[in-house]
Amino acid sequence: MSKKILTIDDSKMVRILVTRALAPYDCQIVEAANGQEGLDAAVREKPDLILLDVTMPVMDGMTMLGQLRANPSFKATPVIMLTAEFAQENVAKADSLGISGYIAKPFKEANVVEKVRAVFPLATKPKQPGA
Amino acid sequence: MKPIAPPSKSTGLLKKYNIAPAPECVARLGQLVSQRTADVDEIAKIVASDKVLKERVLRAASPRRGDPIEDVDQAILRCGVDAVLVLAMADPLLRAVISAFGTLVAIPLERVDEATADPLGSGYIASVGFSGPASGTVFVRMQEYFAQSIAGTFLGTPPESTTLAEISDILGEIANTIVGNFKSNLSDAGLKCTLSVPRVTAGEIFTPPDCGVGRHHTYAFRHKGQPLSIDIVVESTE
Repeated sequence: MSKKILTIDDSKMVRILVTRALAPYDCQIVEAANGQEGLDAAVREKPDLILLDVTMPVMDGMTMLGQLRANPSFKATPVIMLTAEFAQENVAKADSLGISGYIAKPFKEANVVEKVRAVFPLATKPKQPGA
Repeated sequence: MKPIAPPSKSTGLLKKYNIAPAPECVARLGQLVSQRTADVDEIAKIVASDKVLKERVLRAASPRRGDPIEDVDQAILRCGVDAVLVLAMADPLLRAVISAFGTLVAIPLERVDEATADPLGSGYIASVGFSGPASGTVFVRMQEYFAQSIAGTFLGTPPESTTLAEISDILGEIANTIVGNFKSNLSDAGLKCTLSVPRVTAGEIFTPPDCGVGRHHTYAFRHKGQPLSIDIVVESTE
């Protein structure tokens, strides 16, 4: 069964990069453009993994992560931070809320694949019949 | 002079998540921040230990006409410690610029001498503000064709068919990445700050805000003949 990955970032460019990185693999990508949309999408889609930016309008990533972890349904959902902010204080705060990885921007597509693979195996997408 | 050492717990977290530790220039900025009320000769020792920073400070302090200043102490007295801090912020900022363009959009940038760089005229300006003990704005400026090329290459479409929304999103993310990295380095140097949401404008000619002597610096780059300017305006350093 393919994995469902929720990307939460206000930048369409970043969402495109993540989708491109994971395109060869058997996974479904869901997108959200801020922390509030991300929370709504998490409840609706029940993702296997969340990729989460920090600086976003409406609700930032740290606030979203705190609210996510306060919901018993998402206490153990793997979250990988995807952010340009890697100051020691930011990393410590995210670590205290419970994360599975940290991708510092700017990132290459290979960084995304590597960090997702550290959470669960990524199967190559099955070939389409007639392809 | 005490070196700045990161707390051991934080170092462990950086290793846990495979995040590169801050470069030496950030430690140097941190030393300057922690020593900014110290005697000039203490600050001069820190400046003199970094060849590039020393040259920058001497050049900033030297009069446009007349003999250049060659003594670091004298240069610091002439510039003021705040201006030295702003000059020390250049290295983390420039590293972030080269990293963002090189990694996000595979564009290797070449530094050029600001004195001989082509003027940009009107074009795209992406800006992100930072506020805290150090407050200011970083501007990323380029001509329209360069912005269209960057967006077109990323999206796989002809540059001329890229929309303002597409260009704004991409330039905004590049600026956000640059200033986010810069902010992280400032924070690790003892200057915690918050960032504004990126703002992108098209067709404007850049007018730097009036912020006082030594608080606005322009750094020029080029890629295949296309000019790029990075401006940092530091309004205050508490």
